[in-house]
Amino acid sequence: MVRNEDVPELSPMADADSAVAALFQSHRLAMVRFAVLLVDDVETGEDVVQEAYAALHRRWPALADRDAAVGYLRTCVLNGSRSVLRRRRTVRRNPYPDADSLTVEGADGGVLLAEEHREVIAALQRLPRRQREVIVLRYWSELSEAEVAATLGISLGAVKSNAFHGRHAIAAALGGAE
Amino acid sequence: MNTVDDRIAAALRARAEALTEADLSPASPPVGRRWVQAARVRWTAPLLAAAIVGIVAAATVTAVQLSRSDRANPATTPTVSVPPSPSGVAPAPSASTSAPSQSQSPSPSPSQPQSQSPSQTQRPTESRPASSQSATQTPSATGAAPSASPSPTGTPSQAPPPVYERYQPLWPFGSYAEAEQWRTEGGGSQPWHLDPEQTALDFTRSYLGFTEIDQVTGTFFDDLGAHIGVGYRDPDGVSHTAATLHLVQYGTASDSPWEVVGSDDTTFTLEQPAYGSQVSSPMTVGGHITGVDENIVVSVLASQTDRATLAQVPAGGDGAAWTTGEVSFEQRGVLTIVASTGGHLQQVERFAIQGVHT
Repeated sequence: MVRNEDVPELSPMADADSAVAALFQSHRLAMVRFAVLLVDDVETGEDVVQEAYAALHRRWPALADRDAAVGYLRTCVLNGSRSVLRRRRTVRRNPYPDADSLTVEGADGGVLLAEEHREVIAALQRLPRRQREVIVLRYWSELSEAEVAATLGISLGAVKSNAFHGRHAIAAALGGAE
Repeated sequence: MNTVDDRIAAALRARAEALTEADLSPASPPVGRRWVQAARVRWTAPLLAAAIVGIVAAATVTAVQLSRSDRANPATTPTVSVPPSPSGVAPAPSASTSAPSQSQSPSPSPSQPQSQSPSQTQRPTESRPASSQSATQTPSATGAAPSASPSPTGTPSQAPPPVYERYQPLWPFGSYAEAEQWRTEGGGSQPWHLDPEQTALDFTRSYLGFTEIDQVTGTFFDDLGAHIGVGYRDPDGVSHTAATLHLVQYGTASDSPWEVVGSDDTTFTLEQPAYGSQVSSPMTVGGHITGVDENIVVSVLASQTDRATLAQVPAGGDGAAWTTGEVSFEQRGVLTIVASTGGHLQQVERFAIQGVHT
């Protein structure tokens, strides 16, 4: 769970190296987990997160603020994940001989999950991108609806609508269980 | 309990926590100016190339336009200053003449969630027809909402479902059929159904019973309906918003009535159980609150008379979580869960609602 209160205390004047290193130590795993829930494979998730930390390092002078840093990272991971998904869609539309190598399930595809969890994850993977993002941010990152809205840059109403539909789609995939 | 919510949360947790530190590839955080410079250099070449292509393309288009202008206005441009196009055929418009496209992903912002309470009235500029059989208008003031509406003779539409289908109807109508019945048979009576502000106030005062809240503090329309701030004025004459209610027009006709579907929560939120979820007794109600010395009263309403107070919870802090723990209830059907707090200026100063069903 990535919550701002988990972030270690950082001096506003801390230089980028030490501050980003501290965040790297404390949040890399959580951010990779977040990315994996969006893009479905660890290797890509790690790349997305590394890019996010790189972006944070470049921008550090403008956001030497611990609350802003985690929010910034989260948004970078989200945008990086969207780019990955966009590239995958493009590859699927315009396949070339090695396209399978870009679209196969990641190395963690065989991760052992209980059957009931696997059903939920499969249903999650079939959701439209926006609904999936809302579901992950609400149920895993445990953000409030307002925080989800701010992270995704959408309205509260849109958050509620996407959560409602995403949740119902998952419930339907589970056989209508509520 | 909310089985689906629990299952989603548990599955996401299981999936995420299957990944441990040991599974991650060794990596180091980015450090040093050299890395930053390297990152910048990596982008320099493509940016320069894009800029050169843009300049060349712009120059080509300008030359062609001048050439065409020369031919079109020979009297005003007797001297040929730019050679005409050899073929005399203008090139097809090229996308490369425009600026390089940019990603539409929202740019990362360090800002925290902002209050979305409406601060000013933004009314649609056009008045709603008193009655219309064409049923082609949408409730949106912006015109960006789903625009297609059912037509007896129309072809099947590819438009997304109407906005009202996306939400849990709470009040005053229990179903779309009831709303349509009012529209087709009783449109002349209770005209307040056509006024989202009055509907929001009546919901607050008559249905919830918060009679101290007596004014609309703001109105905002968007593709998702109307967002009506309801509140009160303190003894100094300062207006306070107690809640921003979300309403949608319940139907696609221009004279469809308004329906309360939820609240847009900011500093006081009701998040558990999830919006639109199925609940059973006992359930846990919770959310977040910013404020001091708060006493949150949680109630559940199945109708104006079938209601119960579930819990009172002391709370306070900056975005502090609050929860009732497990509480039992007997109400059935579509339920409105209400959390209210106050006691400083009046009994109810802020409230939030959540629509669920059993």
